[in-house]
Amino acid sequence: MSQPHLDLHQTPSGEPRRGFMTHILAAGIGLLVGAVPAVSGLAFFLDPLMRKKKDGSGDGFLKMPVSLEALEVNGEPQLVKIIMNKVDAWNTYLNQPVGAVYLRRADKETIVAFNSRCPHLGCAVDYKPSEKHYFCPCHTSTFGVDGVKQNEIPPRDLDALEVQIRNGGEVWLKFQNFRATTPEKIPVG
Amino acid sequence: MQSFLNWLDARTDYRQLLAPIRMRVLPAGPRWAYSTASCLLWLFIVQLVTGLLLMLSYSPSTTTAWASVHFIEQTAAGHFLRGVHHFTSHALIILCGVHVVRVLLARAFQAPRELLWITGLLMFPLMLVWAISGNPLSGGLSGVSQIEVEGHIIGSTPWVGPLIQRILIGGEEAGHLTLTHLYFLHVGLLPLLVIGLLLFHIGQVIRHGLSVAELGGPQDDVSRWSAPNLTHLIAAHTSPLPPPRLKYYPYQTVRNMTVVTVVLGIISAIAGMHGAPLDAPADPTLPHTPRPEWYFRSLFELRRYFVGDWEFVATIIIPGAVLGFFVLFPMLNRKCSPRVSLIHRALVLLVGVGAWIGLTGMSYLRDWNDAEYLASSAETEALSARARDLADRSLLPPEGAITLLRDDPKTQGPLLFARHCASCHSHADASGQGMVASEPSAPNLHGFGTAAWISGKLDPQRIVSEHYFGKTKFTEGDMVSKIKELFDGIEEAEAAKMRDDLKLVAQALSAEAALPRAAAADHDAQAPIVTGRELLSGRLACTDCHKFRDQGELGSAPDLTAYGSREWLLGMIGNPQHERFYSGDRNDRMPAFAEDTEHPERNLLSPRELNLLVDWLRGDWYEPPTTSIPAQRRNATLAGN
Ligand code: FES
Repeated sequence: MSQPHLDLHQTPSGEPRRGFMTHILAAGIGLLVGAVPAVSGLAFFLDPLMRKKKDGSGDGFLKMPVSLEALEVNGEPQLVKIIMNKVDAWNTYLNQPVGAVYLRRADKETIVAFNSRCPHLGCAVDYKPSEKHYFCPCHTSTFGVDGVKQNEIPPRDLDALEVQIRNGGEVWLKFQNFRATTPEKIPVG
Repeated sequence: MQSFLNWLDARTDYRQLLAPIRMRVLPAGPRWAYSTASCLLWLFIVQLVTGLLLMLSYSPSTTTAWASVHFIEQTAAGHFLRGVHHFTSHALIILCGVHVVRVLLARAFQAPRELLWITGLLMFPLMLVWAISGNPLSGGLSGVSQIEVEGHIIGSTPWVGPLIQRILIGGEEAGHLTLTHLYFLHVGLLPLLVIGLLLFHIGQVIRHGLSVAELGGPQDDVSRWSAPNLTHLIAAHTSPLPPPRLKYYPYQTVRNMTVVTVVLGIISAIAGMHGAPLDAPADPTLPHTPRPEWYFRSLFELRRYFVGDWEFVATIIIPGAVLGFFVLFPMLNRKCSPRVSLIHRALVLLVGVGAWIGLTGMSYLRDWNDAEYLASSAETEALSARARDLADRSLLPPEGAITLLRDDPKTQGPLLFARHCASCHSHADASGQGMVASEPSAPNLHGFGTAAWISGKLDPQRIVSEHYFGKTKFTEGDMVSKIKELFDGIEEAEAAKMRDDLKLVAQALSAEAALPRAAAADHDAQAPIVTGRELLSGRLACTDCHKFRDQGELGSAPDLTAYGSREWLLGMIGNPQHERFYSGDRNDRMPAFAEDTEHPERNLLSPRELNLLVDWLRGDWYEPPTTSIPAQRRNATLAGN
């Protein structure tokens, strides 16, 4: 199958033209036969790239189990587990902990929420009340209580999440994960 | 026999195929050092065989992986087999390194052996990937968090990184597909790749090993099976006689087999004694600080020096450059005289091995000096031991091993307490072991409901300490003044009598809690308990404020009926302002954790969490019998089914 045109020139006798055609034909059939498993195999292999997470109903906001008043103004961040239905390939698990957020009441009216996932490589950050910062034990990233990174290890600040105060005191949050390692916040899923 | 072999040979040419081994001559004589290659081959075969056997009982999915591995651990020889598979993977990596060093020392990469060298080098990273693709298969905490972090590292590669990450993890989050994909890599793709490379590698050994001398021609030493190595050179200089020309088989073979036997012996001993580790089932809600395997520690350490935008230097550039350098090394080294080449190689080796050891050592030192990391890894170990204990207790539910620790009060209690209670309450014993609130402002709940704990609360000094009401508004309250009153202006003898009476009251109240750990003591102390009850509603007049059974009224102080029992605590934590507890403004800052019985999802604690917390506070959890013999229990279980 290699370099058929060379054969063409270097075959002193015989039927070079037909030989050439046979090469082409053999290669063509071979490709065709090979393409079926190759293409379907590739498509199967790449399936995770094509799968899109189905959007849940509603606006994506979840009601948090803490109310505005329950949080102290300018107090310590409080860790809240996010409970949602989780889809894993062929299973749906109802009401699973899918992540966690830190909620903090920055002033009377505003709640600031951070995804507890470290933007560096995705470990869980831990709020240290004694040092008044978030600390990640994996590669020692630290973030201020405002989520701003305090050393060069993380690529960006902690990921702030959208929060809404509804019905005079209920805290609603849009939970999202973001891709690790990038300087920009790129939502995943 | 002979005629059969002739018959076979006529059809298969097997003698010719075996000739490279049977006819090979070692001009420099057999050497122990030559055994690395053969040892690698045998360990590789051990991996294929043990791996294949483990597949008999392994099932890759998040619900079944850990359970099936735990099952393997319980089967006859499964523990040993998995141990051998685990420790052989480490041995293979070590030996791979030793083999590369030996080949480098022997300058055995020279023309025409470049492809031999390159395929060997390529197998090394493949081997590492092969090993780490196996770690998460057990569905354990550390393996799964390792692959998640590794996934993110891969994902940080520009362009293709995120795509490879997605394919590797099988989506955005680790799940079933992560395991099936890793399984595909570990038992399918990587073995095929490595076997392919290995066959080529061995083919090259045979091809280039067959030197003229080995076929009985004139002696030609340069491109032999092994080029003259250091020891050979030294031997040649120091011994007056040339070494005897011995055949590879059996003189080298017997050395190889000795080394293989020793190595496998060591592996089997370790495997038999320790077995492969099995962490707690992976659960993102469990605290865990992931660390890479020892063979990636150097890269892990390197990442500390290239942070932020420079991380790719540690992740891609340096490893890539090192591999590239070694691949090209034969070319760089080609023109050198033996002496210069020796210096080059010695230098490469020194710098390479030195840097590797230095970085690895530094990384471990850092962790060993990091109290927080040590605590975290001890916690992981404790969780793992706990999960194994729970799994040994009974067969696992179909939802998988993750439920073991999620439904375990001993595991979840401290986590829930730390998150919801520990900003005010401590939970620490007399020596300060446990959780100590940074600014305790409510009672220490360690031992809540025990006679000892209640006794403290009935002591005029201790009730006002920060262990009880010291930091609450109740220091000024009726309870404290009542207890003080009991001791007001009485003689020491009377005070001693009073203390004894209060001890009986404490015993009676503790019996109300019906703590499972105190069941035997409560049972043996029926008489004092009855006396205590009588004192409580009689002479000491607690029921002036508290309700106790059919005496007293609700509304002015917490109900002492079933005080500290499961249902009492569920109510108290759920809603302390209920009239049974501290109604109205008598409550001191204690939040209601499960007030809304209609909509449990709106509460701070779900019913499940509340139950776990209460069970933990009451010390109500399963403990394995101290003299457990897993094998016996296993046999009992199997017989029972
Ligand atoms: S993952 Fe947080 S510092 Fe690396």
